Amino acid sequence: MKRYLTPETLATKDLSGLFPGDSLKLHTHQIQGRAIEEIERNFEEDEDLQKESLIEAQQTAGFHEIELRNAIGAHFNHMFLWSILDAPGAIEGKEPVGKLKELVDKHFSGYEGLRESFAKAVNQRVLPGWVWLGFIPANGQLVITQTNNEDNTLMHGIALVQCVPIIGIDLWEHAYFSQFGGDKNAYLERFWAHVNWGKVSHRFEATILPTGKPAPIHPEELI
Amino acid sequence: MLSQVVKKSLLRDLRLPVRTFTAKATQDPLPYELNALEPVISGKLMDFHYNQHHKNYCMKFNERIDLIQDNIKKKDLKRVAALSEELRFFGGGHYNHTFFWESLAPVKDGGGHLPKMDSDLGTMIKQSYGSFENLMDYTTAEASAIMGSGWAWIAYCKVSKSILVQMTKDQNLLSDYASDLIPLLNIDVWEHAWYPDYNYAKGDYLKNIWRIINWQKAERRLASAKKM
Repeated sequence: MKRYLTPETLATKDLSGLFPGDSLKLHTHQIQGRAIEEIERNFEEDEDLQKESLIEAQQTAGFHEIELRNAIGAHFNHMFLWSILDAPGAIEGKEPVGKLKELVDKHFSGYEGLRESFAKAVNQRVLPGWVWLGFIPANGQLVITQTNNEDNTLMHGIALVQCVPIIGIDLWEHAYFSQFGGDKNAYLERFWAHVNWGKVSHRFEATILPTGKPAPIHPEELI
Repeated sequence: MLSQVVKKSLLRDLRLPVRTFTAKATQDPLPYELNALEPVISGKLMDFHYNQHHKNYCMKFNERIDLIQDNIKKKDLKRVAALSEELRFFGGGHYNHTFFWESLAPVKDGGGHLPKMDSDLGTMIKQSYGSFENLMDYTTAEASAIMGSGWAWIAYCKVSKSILVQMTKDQNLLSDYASDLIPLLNIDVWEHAWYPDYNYAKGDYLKNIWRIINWQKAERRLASAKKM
């Protein structure tokens, strides 16, 4: 876990189309920064926390006090978000491909169907949290689900639907307020333009589908 | 009113279902100009918060009322139950925001101006918190600790006849927590209430909000509360 508590986990890549100006720094320096601080505060006493990987820490996050759980979730959620997004000019593939595309076609009648269903969940949600597209290894299904605050779908005993996240969108008000004035649909449209489906599909096919586990996030993906 | 009566009797004559009149929620006008709370809350944020956000709660609440009535007719009680949850949320939001606008006042109209220590409110606050400053510090600390969304309330507890500070989550009502709490003031701690003006400095928002708190209104509310 320790190797994730570094400034390298804060994104520096250009996501200004989605998070212009200082808004990206808000997520990285303020939110992630504080999350890292909170985790570090608890690090010394918590042997398990020291031994766990970032992903393992998500699974057991429910056992901690709410502040630490929030911090653990916030750090992963944001790292995950940076790993699936890229500037529109840099994305490799504007739609799901390969095995992911097959499942999207099957469960959502295509990419458009996925976007429609996703939009419903996003618009219906009024509390801070995240909306996810996830994979349930047990039955091989795709599902759209939600979590509150900084929880995520990896957290045992907390997530309504436990699944491996494929993509996720931050629906805290600070994520879209200043740029889109509360217009979630505009935020969502811009979000889609930044999702690196080529990378997301590859990661799904290479790791999530065969192993039923999330792919590790490397700091190099965040720059 | 007469037109309603005539309409109803006409409908009865035509054997059409008489639709019962349902009151719909409306937004009361703001007690002050949009930019009157500057520099604590910008006119732009007030415009957004009141004209879009609060209005949305009001609209959604009214939509739910219609949907519930439709589903009652269709006898889809499961849907009615689900919609009632949403009604609760939007209704709570509508109420909480209405209460909030009246809990604030421009500085030139007394916002931030503390009541005398020997007033009813002052005496009670002194009893429970020692001073106005202590009360404000305590409320600020509790409000800072809210993770996600919620409200901070200063309330009168009927049973113990004292002032109490209570945090609520999401758009819950104060009465959800204890039926004997009568709200005197509230502070919106949802991100939308401060983030555009304060970026991530929630602490600064909570420090500054006291400059526009309408203590006179709180005193009036306390007077009514004691009569209940």
